[in-house]
Amino acid sequence: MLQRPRTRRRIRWWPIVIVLLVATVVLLNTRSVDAPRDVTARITLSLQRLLRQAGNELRGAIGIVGDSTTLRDRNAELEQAVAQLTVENLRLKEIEAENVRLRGLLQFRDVNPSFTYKGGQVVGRIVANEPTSIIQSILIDIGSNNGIEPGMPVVTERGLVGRVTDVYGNAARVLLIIDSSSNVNTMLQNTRLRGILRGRAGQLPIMDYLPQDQSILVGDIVVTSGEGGNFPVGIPVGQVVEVEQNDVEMFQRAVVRTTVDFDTLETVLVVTNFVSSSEQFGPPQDREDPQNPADLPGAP
Amino acid sequence: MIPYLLVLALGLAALLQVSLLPALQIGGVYPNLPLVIVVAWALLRGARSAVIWALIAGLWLDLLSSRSFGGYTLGLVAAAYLAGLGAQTVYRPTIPFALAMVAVATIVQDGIQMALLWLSGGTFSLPDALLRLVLPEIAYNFVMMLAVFPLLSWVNRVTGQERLPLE
Repeated sequence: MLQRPRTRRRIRWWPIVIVLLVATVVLLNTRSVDAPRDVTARITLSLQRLLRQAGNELRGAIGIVGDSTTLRDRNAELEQAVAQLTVENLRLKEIEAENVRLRGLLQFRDVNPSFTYKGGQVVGRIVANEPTSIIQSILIDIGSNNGIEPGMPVVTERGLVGRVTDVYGNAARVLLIIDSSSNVNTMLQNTRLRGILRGRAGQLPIMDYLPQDQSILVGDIVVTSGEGGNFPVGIPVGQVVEVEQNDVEMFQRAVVRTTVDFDTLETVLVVTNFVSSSEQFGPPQDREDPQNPADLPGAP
Repeated sequence: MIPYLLVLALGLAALLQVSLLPALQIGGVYPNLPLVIVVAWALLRGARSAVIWALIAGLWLDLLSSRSFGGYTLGLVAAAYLAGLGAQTVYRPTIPFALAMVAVATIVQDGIQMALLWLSGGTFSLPDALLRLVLPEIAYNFVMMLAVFPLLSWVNRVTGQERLPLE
């Protein structure tokens, strides 16, 4: 009986070795590669800034072409909005004046957050995002050379953006509040109900752990609650667009549309004199106390 | 000289990926240029060469990102290897085949990123992530492939069927 000659099957070992090697590195702590990332950021930052600028200009050019057809309608809408906002502005100025008077009477000036971090803001331009839209973080062109530290809150004039997580010499990485690993202590402005805003990949963030017996309305404003010590109190975060309530669950949830448009974000402010008391970024006793008037800017 | 140029070119692709392309995002989604390049090269030159390109591009992306080091390399290497295996099933890769392969590669790459995200405690709904992130990214990558595939086909013709350094 003839036997079929045995053929030795070649095993392609090299992809397996590469995948195993890389998988091993994935499991390493991210901190161990801070130094090479710092060097890469230093070398490539100028080029990244240029490329980002080109991208922003390209987006602007595409936007102009796309918007030209709807400009007239939009203009009419905006004129109407301006009229409404002018009336609203007058009302708010009145409230602001009253607020200032009351603050003076109650001697709250030293602990007012808006005074606390005014002057402590550093403007950073966004130069890069993550390679994939599944992860939501940005790289800004200011770092430890500009006094940036991990844990500092990042905002725009429209509201909360996120928090500094990694700091390099001339750049810093900011975790956005829409990232699925982000948790922010928030509250509803009107009812003061507390909850945790969690980012979700591909979806609007959700405000979780809201008590079942409380009424939540679409349109409610969400602001930071200041609990946990990661963010100052009262920074606008978003607006409730949907309430998810299920009788069999312990809590209800609210879907939140953020006030910041993350698709077109270009510059941000880093609040440099707010001190995060989160343990992740070092013990609070090593830092100045924001509630202590002696530690506030301009204090004697 | 050519190996250094290759490393620099893939580095430039990675820089474009993190700096320029996110500025053109629609609904929070942008294309994946290094992935498209690696898949196109796998179809033209096979898995061996593409995996090396994936390794270089992946390391660049990992240096330019903030998450666990190696995640992007792992995704790109897996996508390149699969695309290379796919290329063995056809006599000559065409653009429709390249589009089909980039769709598969995008699912593999994003699937690995989502798995890593899930392992690190991130929360997401898989159907929503597929519908709102992966599918739009595939559409974006189709557009990118229509530009990249003819370009790399030309590079392949110019360099002949001889192996480039690092292959």
